[in-house]
Amino acid sequence: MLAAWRRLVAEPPLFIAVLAVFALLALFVIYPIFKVVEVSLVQPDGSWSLATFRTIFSSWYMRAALTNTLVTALIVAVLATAIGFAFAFAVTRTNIPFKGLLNTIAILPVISPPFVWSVAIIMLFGRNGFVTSKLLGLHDFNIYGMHGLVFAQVVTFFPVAYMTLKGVLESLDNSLEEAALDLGASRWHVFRKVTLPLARPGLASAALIVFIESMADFGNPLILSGSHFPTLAVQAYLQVTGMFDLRGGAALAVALLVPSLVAFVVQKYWVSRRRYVTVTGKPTGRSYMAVSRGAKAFLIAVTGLVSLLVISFYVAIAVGAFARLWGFDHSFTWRNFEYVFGVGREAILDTLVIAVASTPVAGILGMVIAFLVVRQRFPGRSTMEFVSLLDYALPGTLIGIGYVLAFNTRPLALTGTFAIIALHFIFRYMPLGIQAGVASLQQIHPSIEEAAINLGASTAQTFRKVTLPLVAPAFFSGLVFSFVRAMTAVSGAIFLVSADWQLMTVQILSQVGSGRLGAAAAFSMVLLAIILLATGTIRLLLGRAFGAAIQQRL
Amino acid sequence: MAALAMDIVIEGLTKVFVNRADPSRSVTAVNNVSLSIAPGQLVTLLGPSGCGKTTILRIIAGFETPTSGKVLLGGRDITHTPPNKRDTALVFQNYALFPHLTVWENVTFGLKLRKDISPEEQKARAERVLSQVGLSDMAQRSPDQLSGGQQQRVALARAIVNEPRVLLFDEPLSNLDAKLREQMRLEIRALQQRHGITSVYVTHDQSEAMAISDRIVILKDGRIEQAGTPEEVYTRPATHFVADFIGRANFVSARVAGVSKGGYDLEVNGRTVFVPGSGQDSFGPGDFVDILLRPENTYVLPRSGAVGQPVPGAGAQGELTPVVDGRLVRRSFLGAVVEYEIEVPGHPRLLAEMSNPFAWGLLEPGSEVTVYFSPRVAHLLRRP
Repeated sequence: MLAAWRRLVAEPPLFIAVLAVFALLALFVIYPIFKVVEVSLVQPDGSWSLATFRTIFSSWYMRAALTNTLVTALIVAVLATAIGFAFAFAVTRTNIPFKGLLNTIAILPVISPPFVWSVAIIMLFGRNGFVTSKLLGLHDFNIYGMHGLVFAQVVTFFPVAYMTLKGVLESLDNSLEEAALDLGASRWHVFRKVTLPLARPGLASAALIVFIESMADFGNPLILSGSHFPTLAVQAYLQVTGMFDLRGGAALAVALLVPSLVAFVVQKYWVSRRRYVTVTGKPTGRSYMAVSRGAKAFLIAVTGLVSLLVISFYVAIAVGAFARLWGFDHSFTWRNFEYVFGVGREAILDTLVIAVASTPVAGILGMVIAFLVVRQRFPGRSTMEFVSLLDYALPGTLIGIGYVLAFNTRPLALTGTFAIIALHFIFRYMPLGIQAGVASLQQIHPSIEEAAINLGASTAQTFRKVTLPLVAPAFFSGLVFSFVRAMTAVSGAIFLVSADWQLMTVQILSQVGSGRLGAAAAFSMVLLAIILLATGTIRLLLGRAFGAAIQQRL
Repeated sequence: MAALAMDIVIEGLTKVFVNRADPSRSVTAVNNVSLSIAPGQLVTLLGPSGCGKTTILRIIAGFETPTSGKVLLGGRDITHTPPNKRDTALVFQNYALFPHLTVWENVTFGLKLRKDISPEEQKARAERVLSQVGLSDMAQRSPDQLSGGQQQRVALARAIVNEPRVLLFDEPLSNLDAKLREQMRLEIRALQQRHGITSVYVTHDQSEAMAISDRIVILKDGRIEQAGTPEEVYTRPATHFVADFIGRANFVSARVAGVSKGGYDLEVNGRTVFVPGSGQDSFGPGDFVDILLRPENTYVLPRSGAVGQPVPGAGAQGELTPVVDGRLVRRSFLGAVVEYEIEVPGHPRLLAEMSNPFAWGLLEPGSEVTVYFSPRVAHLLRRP
């Protein structure tokens, strides 16, 4: 411990970097969270007690919100992980056709606003839904409630499970499965006894991440739950903005915090440690012997159905954006876009300015933290890693309320400013940069950096001349992800927007709230177009600079 | 040689890797190692994996801090000097070439960080070193466009171009195939001697160590077992471990019957043989010893009962003396040599390697044989 301190003091730039990161994390991550917990526990007379929780959960409605949120998250975690696994297995272990398309469809929802599907679902399955009312002639079908929410969340979050599981399955050498077949096991036996057990830590990890996402989701439940199916995130928002009850909102956010935090800690420190590293010699060619014809048919059916849904959602949004009145009058019109570019222009510009300003900061900070955490030894290293990931893992609702509580007084009176939204985005999406940085640093053998130091370079020179160029592709892909997230964020940001600084996502929600589905669809289209344009441009520019490496990552 | 003439001095070096969760599982990787290396020498740290050789090298380079002990470079204590402030250059096991830089940029990386060398001088030096390793044409390539041996040469050039006081090699040849390994070790030795750079070379390959070293330091469990020239450690190993690790070894158990004429009369399975002492050993009557017979000093002849029969080709070897009787259990004919394995009652099996096998006559497995040796090249070890 002493030696670690001595080393830190011996290198001033490193020491300053560590201190600065800790100071930033304390102020913009820990302090807001602490404020929420504090407000939920401190009574008006200054005493500490659980009275606020007793009061708020004395109503059956809020108790229902708690159980609804947990039960929904559990169901969605299981279903989304199963579908994600089907996609990942189909893409990595079979030779079914249209694999590239499957991969695209499974990744597309990640770059869409998290509640765009809810808009599409209402268009297709709502009271005047195209499928329910036009195709099936059902006029009393009600999409609002648990089933609607589960439906929307499964489609929204299965890509998260897919990306985790695709990585897991790709890293499992399929010569293990070939070995099992060679030893006389049936294909089903190989799947149950080899593939599935090896993928189990990945499955658990994916399910926990989906669980966290579902708990924290705000947009989908706001649109689809209806008043008979309360959920915590929505109730916390209504409590704060509708009833002006910050204390009650804080208590609900804390109720949301506890299960999320448990799931995050379990995922990070238990499940992800139980990963299997397959030791392999020379890579064998991909062969797809381990999947029977029946299994393949099943996979095609499942992935095909989900893909069809995703495509139909996009079509619905696109058609809806140009329809005069969805459900009644589908004649072509520019009216919705005129509305978006008229009334919504400021929101579009604000969103862009905030996202463009916050992502590079988030990216650089993320890289610095990744470098410190992976490559340097200093006291509090693992604490730094844990805290820096917190804002991403915890529900946005909690963070948003925290920022409102923490930064409404001098000297940091930021409420209603550009800075508060930008800071929120920086610390919420910086973990994407950290994760990308950590992953790529772990692939770079430490001896490459040691070689630079051995040749006389200082830590700072080594970082600039060797580490940074090598992690650049990861840096930019982290940047792209944080940009997309900043463009589509809503759950925390909705507490921070003001008349001066508006966000597109909040606008879309309010259009849905007032029944203007066409305008919401048009807004969504514009948002999607900006994201595709931005990621496409970055991809093109970087592809030229870094070759194929980054193409694969994006 | 006076102490001031030494380039590297290591004093009482100890490194404990502490397992904080379970202190009982802490590992003492280096245990009180002291060592001096004269200028221009190439010293090899040799030992099985886990013997602490790489840890010592990384301590000299500055990537590990010793738990106790000192490292002196040219008389200056550098134990706590950061690695980038040391005049040492390390050739990494995996080469650690910067994948985003060309060969030229890799080689000039260290030079560019130095203010005391003019750009023209830097260019001249880099060109000279690249031509010495035969890579002048490859300067603009990126490392992944080179073969393993070429990458190895770039790593070597990158280290040498800085003209460091000390060159460090961490198993630099372990990623190459056998033939290239033999070629590269000659090149490394030639370059090292040409530049006269003091070098520490880590390997677990004893033939590599023999081929390139001025001195070999044999390590086991973090301690020095023996240090000496390749000839010394081969012919006069200090311990059974060294005898076994450097080359192949037969041990024939014996008991000292008498001390005489600068040597020992030894009792072996009822025979008495005379073995001259090395001058450093001091055995007394009744001591149990092992006679170290290298396979090339182990001769197998048919047991005809006639002791003192003429031995073909024995002239150059001096007088051959019979030592034990046994039965031939394996014969492997390898062309230039023939390898025999002999079973001796109450003994581990003996291995003999006889060159010019047809002059001696090939023996059939199963036949009764007598094992001969030349006492002048035998070595005695106290039985542990």
